[in-house]
Amino acid sequence: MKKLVTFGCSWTFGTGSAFENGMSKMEYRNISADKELCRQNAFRTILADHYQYKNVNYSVQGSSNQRQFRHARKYFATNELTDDKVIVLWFITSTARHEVYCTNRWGEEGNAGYSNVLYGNGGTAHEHMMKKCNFDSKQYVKDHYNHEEQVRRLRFEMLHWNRYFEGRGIENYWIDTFNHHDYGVEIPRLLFDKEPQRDVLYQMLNARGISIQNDSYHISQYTRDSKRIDTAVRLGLVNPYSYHPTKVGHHLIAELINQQIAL
Amino acid sequence: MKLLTFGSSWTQGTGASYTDGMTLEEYKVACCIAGETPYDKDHNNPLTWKSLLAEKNGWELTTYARVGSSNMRNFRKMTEVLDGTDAAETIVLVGVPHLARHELYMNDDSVGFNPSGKGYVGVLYANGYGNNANKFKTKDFDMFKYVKNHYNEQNETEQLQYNIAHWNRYLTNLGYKVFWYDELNQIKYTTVPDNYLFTDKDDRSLMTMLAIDAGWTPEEDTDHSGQSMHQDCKRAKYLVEKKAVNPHAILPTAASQAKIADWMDAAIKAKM
Repeated sequence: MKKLVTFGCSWTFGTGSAFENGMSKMEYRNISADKELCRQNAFRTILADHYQYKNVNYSVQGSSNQRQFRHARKYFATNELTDDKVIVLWFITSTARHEVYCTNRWGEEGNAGYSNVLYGNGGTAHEHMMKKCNFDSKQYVKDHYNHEEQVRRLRFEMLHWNRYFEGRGIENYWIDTFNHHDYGVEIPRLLFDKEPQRDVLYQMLNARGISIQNDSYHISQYTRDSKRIDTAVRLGLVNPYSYHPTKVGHHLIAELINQQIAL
Repeated sequence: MKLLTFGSSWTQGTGASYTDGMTLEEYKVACCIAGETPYDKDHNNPLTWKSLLAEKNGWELTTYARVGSSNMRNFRKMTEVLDGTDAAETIVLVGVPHLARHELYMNDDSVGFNPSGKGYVGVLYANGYGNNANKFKTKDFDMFKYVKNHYNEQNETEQLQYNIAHWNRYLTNLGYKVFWYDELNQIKYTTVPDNYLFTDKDDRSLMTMLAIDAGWTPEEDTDHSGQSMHQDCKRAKYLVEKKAVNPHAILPTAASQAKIADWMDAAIKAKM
């Protein structure tokens, strides 16, 4: 048995991957978060199926880097992993996200657990939704969010987890999902590291002969906030409603990753 | 050998400079009061238990413990510094503080903990203490609201347990020797790891051990918050009365620091 363990956000989960050309926004909404459709179309499934791995997936829509670290700690602390081979693909998402434990999630009495909190665009995107989690996203960004510090922490976490996986004989790779982060040091096993920009969104466009560098930060909160996203919509690589990869986009991502590593 | 310590004021040794009869104002000058005086003057005090322990064994000490530290800060600092360097010659001690603490990055640190004006500040919200909340002045962080909406002791314990399991495997693989201990209160784990110190005691926290040593008859007690002068449990009141801790921040005196150093020394050697 071989396992492909994946961490990431909606792009890895496969959100919106069942989009078909000509779909109305309402039709899209009805299928965009369907778990089975997302799983079927996602690049993680394409890769796992092709190479006959079992995909253990911890990516979800709206996930933060913090959430991924939390799940990884629990999963690897509680599983001995006696499989023939384990590969971890870890997709770094926007730094403008984290998660908070809520005693009453979404205002629902007794619904306790972690909620994703997203505060891209200065906290204005999804502000109303975040208030339901008792989270003032605008105030948080002003007082506590610091992109450079988040990237610095990612650097330490990635180096830490690299050593952890080496100690357990687990093969692992990192991927910047839709933004290139300057980690300040070389991170072993960070894919596309020799490219001018290593994020998957850039790589998808680059594969189509378009290079857009020094673009604005994409927050992936249903906002058309960068030239790369505009171009990806035009090329049919992401859908025009939530800007997540289409089926074509997912196949391209699978191909790009496949070129980087031997599963 | 090298000794690296992580934890809060009880591991840092804050209060070691206290002398009997010292007023609060004198204490602030000699040691520190969290949230009021940014610099902990006992950081390099040779009377702290960590220094005594290191000196006794000829270990080279580096302390990452700090007043008001949380498990969140402990793990952040451990991620930053435990990179495998000299692992085989390094002992790591991790003191587990009260669970109701974390840290926040402040873009504008008006408290003055960070000389650059921005950085991490510990936030402590055990029992939702309003007085302490005001002292910390962590801008726009409402502790009452936070405890009500976001704090869950069981979840904190569960996450801590996963973290300890994760770090034990990581550090052991790299060759470190690591030991954990409870600072103020015994954490209610479902399983206590083998490398936890003082597991032979009915209550393994340093604070309870100190109270029993001072003559306290163990009985059911509430948690101690470790938030300055709050005598919020029977052990705190008893220890102040017996002068084993100071009355201003409920932290071990120099004599108590020496006892903890001896206990730590014996417990570590028994596990090694």
